[in-house]
Amino acid sequence: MDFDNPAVYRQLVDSVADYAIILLHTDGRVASWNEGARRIKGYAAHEILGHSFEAFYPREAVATGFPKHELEVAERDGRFEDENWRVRKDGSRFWANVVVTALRDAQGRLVGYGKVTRDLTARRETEAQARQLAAEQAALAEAARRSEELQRINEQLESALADARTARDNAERSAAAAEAAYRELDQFAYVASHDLKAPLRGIASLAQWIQDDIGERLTGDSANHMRMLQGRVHRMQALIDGVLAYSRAGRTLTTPERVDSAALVQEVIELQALPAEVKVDVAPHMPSLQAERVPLQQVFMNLIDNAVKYARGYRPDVLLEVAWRDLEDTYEFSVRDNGPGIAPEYQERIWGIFQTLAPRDKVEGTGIGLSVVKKVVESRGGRVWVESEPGQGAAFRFTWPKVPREAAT
Amino acid sequence: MMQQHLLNILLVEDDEVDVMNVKRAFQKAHITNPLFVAGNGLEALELLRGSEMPKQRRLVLLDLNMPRMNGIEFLRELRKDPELSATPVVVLTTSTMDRDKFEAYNLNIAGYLVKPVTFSDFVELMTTLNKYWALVELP
Repeated sequence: MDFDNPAVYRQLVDSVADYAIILLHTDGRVASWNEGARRIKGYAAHEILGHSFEAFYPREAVATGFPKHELEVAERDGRFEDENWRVRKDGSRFWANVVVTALRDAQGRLVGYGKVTRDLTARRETEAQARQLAAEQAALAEAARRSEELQRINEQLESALADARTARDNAERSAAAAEAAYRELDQFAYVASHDLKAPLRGIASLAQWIQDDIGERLTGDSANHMRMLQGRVHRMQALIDGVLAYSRAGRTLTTPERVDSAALVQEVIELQALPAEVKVDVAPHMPSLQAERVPLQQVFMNLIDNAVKYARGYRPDVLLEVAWRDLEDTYEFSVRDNGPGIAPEYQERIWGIFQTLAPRDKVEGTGIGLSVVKKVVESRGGRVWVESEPGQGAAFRFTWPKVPREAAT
Repeated sequence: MMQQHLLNILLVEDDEVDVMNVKRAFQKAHITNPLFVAGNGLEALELLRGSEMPKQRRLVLLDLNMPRMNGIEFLRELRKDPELSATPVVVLTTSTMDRDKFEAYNLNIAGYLVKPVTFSDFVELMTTLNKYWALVELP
């Protein structure tokens, strides 16, 4: 075979079907065409020979002078390679790998260009599909991972919820048990104090009759003992009444009504029949609120009574100040006195039942009043506390909800 | 001047001191009505059914908390007895419980009095009670 024969090469080139192999004149016109070029670009040889190779480029590429740039690079560097969009005869685009080679004669003069083009659209699509597939798989994997995570979080939440439910059920059970225990205790206190009263009344009557019958004949110690006996009977009576009041403080929920706190406090002051040297200053514009009248009155009464009792033993010119503040959901009321005040270490103790800070023979206190106040206020959803320094008087403050709790059935 | 009738009072009370209390209050208020005493409901029924106590112008002062037959049980028995069912009864007790009041009034009591704490108040109560019942027309 004569491999030096150009016709043989021509046959070889012509028969290549997968590559467009063409020659261009130096100005870019098409000089030769092969089978691959026809199949890839769609033109028959006679349709394209002599036409500019710019026909193969998208319009925007021609507009930017890209085809000329290709030839310039090839002339300068001997070779240009590119992978980009090209256009077929029917206007459709394909993804092409293009290699342009500058061709020179024996003297090195540029005689034209060889151009080899491969259609990589299918490969590119496969790659794109593979990439998309990979992306989808990654997304799926991510979704699966997140789903697992969600599942885990969900399980954790459910377990936490179950824990919370159990805790709530337990809390409800203990609250109900505590409630029942308190009620039972109140009931016991009521019955016990009632039964204690009967013999005490007997003792009181008997002491009274002895006093009536032979009181004038009692002398010295006996007269004194009789007086003390009657005093103790009265204290016992007060204690029992206090226990009764305490046992009733929480449980007797009554129907709330419109209460004018200014009028209520005025009423309390009048009921106390305060001595003339006691002045009570009530802040202006005391609010009206929806509340249970009797318990609220009881709180003011006990606080004022308590303040007067202790302040009078301390100084003659007793001054009480009743004030209020609006705290969104509640009203805060306060009763301030100019009495002896309460040292910080005793400020917790005063709320306990039967706790007093003065000897009973000096200040006639049973230690019930403030414990009733605390029970009444707290059973209505409020708070009660004291602010005081020794020698600076004391301010008893409590909050009372603007909207009453639902009455117990 | 309205004619004052003498009342035959039956005190049903188990506490000896309380009985003395009533007696002393009567003394103090110069109430001279015949006073009969029963220690519980059973004794009271016996007295009311017997001949010792006059059948006319009877008033029962009834304590509620008593042994063997308490005040409420006594009232039930009393209202079932056709001979005694019209007997006026005034409860005299230390109980301030609503349930006791309802039950007692349901059994047609003529009044419900809570025993006052002090003797002088008790004397006053007995005086008022006696004056009132002296004016009341009885069957």
